[in-house]
Amino acid sequence: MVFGRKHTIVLDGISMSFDRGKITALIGNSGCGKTTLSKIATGITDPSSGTVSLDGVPFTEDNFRENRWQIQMVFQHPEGALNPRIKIEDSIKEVLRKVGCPGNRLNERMDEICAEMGIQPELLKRYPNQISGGEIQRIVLARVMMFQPRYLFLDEPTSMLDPSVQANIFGLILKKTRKFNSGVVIVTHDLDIVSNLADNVAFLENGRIQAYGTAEEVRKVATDLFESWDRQKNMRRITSECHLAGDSQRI
Amino acid sequence: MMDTSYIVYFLFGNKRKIFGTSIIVVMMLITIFAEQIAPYDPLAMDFKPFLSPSTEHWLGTDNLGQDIYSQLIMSSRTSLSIGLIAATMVVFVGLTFGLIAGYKSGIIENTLMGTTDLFILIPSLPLTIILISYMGPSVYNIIIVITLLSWCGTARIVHSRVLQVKEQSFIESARMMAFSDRHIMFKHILKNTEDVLLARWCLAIVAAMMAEAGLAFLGLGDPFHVSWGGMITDAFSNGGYVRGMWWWYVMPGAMISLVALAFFMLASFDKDHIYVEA
Amino acid sequence: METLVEIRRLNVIFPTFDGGFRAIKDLDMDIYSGDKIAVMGESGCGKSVLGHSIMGLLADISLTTGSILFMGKEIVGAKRSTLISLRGSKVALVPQSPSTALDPVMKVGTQIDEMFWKEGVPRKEASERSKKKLEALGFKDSDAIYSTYPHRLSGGMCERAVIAMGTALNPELVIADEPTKGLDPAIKIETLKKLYTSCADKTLMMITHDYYAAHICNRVCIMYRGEMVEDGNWREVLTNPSHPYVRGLWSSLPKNGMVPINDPLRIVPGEGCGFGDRCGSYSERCNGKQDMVTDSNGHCVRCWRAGIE
Repeated sequence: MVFGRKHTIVLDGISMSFDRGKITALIGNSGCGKTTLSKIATGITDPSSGTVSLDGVPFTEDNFRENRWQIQMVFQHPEGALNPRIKIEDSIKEVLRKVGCPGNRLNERMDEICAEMGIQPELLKRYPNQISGGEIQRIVLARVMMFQPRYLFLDEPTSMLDPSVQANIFGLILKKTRKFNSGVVIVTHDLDIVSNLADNVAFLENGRIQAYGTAEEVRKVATDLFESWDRQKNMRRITSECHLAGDSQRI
Repeated sequence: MMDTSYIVYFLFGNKRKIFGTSIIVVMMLITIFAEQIAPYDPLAMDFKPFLSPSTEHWLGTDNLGQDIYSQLIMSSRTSLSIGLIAATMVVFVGLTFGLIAGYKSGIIENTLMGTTDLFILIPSLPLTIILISYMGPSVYNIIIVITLLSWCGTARIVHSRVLQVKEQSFIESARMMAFSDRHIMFKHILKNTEDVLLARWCLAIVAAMMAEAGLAFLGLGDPFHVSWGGMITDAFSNGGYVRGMWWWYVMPGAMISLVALAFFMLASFDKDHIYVEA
Repeated sequence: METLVEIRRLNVIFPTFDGGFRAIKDLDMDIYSGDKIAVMGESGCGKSVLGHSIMGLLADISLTTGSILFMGKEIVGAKRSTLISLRGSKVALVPQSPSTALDPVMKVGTQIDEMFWKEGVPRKEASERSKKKLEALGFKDSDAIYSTYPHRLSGGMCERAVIAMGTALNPELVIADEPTKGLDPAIKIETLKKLYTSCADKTLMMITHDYYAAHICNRVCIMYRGEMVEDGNWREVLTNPSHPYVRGLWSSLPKNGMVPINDPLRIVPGEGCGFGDRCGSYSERCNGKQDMVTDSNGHCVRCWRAGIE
């Protein structure tokens, strides 16, 4: 598929498929098109040309609405991920109703889900701007997983969060997606996550897939990316080198 | 539809708002119990004309011997009801245009907002005068004309707010969860325009009352339902000014100002509000 | 080594709809001249609040008690004029989210000039110095960047521009709030390099939750629920910490297997150890007030078990 805005080609000739039950990571520098690719795959944006198919059946005008809930997405920024004027419990109940939970069981199901996802009951009566980013992402994940989607796309879901919360959230993601055998696609910069979690890795650059395979295989192609990542683990040496080289400034 | 806790905040959220709400409550009581509060029938021409304020006539009498204080009380009904009804209609129409235009985009948006722009360009005062003169000065016509010429400002503001809200992730999420357009528009987007709507409603009340007062001053008010603006006109044209009976025209003006102040206070923005975006 | 900042019994409480929220609880801390400190912890632990209160930015919206002595001057309850005279020239904040920290309708260069104008530097000289500052921060074409508007800058460039603003007047203390949030690894390296060299002989307080970024500092403090729980040499805290929470933090890193810490059981901490409800080695003694245990190297841990080991 090709996606372009006016005269800029963001994605050029991409053909790829995502497997169910596997975790695929999309990596690349900023601006390579990985977020755009996720948005097209989830139906948020339309490609300039090309098609998106789910299990072999291409999306058309008609079947789009009925089937699109099978592909869900969790966004990067917790702000704006939930309606700021609705209480958390109402946000959750809204989705419960949509997936068919009967009215008299709403509260019961909501409590079950909160227990599962580690959402504290005191938060339910609050509004989104009164709770932290990590909790918002948990709630977003809970809402999204209620659909038991075939595919779950995650656009750097934890880059705005700190590591301990990140571990919790990924634990939940893995638990739930394994339960429903969902295919997981993660867009991320964190190559540690990629090396430890991902089954398949796709490396994008300039709107094209430059490499696809396991982390080790892709590492051979995406050398700069992996190298930068490893270098940043040695920040101390880098900064002390600067110091010795006399890069300090005074004005 | 509206969130009760937001309305509670809107009315009582800080000292200013409580003050405004109290004034409005008092005004409402006056309007409802006008007959009981007014000491005399305002249309009864039983008394000596041009009396100064006294204990029997708190604001004296006018040129026809009617008690001015009773007139003041009864006129509250006309002024306030025109203000409230016109404002509600203004917000309703503006909301409809803004919400649909903002959400639907494309041709629908262009048409709706183009129409809005057209209405903004119309010079309201001259057209108001022309229309009322043509249609006849009745309370209903006044409300209709005021609505017709004021909805566009609200539409513009609602439209721009809808455009902002539309960009947020939770709207995209809602689409991905296959919620219908109707659900998204009313449950999500509309809810995020509440604050704008309530504030505009308050300002529209003030604007409508001012517009009506202006019309009345020009002699285009409803002669059968006197409003505060009408009283001011009467005062000037029936000898109140030349006789130095300042209480006759200052008091209705003060009432209008007081109500306007109260609604402005309600519409004031406060950063303590729990909804403030993080 | 002189003491630049002396904090004693600092408490910062934010008024909320259900009582007050205590963002910082009885904090004692000394910051020495030349320190490079990383303050780490999860969201809501109070690290940003700490940075902001050193600058006196929270006076209007919070109840702050205790004492913060900055270069001998008391910050808590200080007059606006005192605070204004210190900000920018003696202590500066490099705020989070650089893209929103820059005024979108002003050119980048002008925003840096403003720092100089505040100190009475004449316009022409200010713009020369701003351009030099931009060059020092790695902008090769400083003239172009000087006249550009913020929306044209990428994330990394915005961050460096904001660092330029913060360090323009060469303040004694630079407080950098999450300087590497949301940046690509390659850009992160450059930004940290520039940040480090910009504060080379001054004091840097970096608020972050990036494990690797913290390595540029020589002292690491970890906060949890408003309290300082560990404070010591970077190598010790980052690789072999004593406090159970800090150990849990590092095991939750992806490279260490992403082992999550237990979910908290309660929202409002009681008198005892704030981490008690999540700690694997909880015992009766953890219910009482926990003091910092300091060892001979100055390494402090708020856990009575550390004193025994």
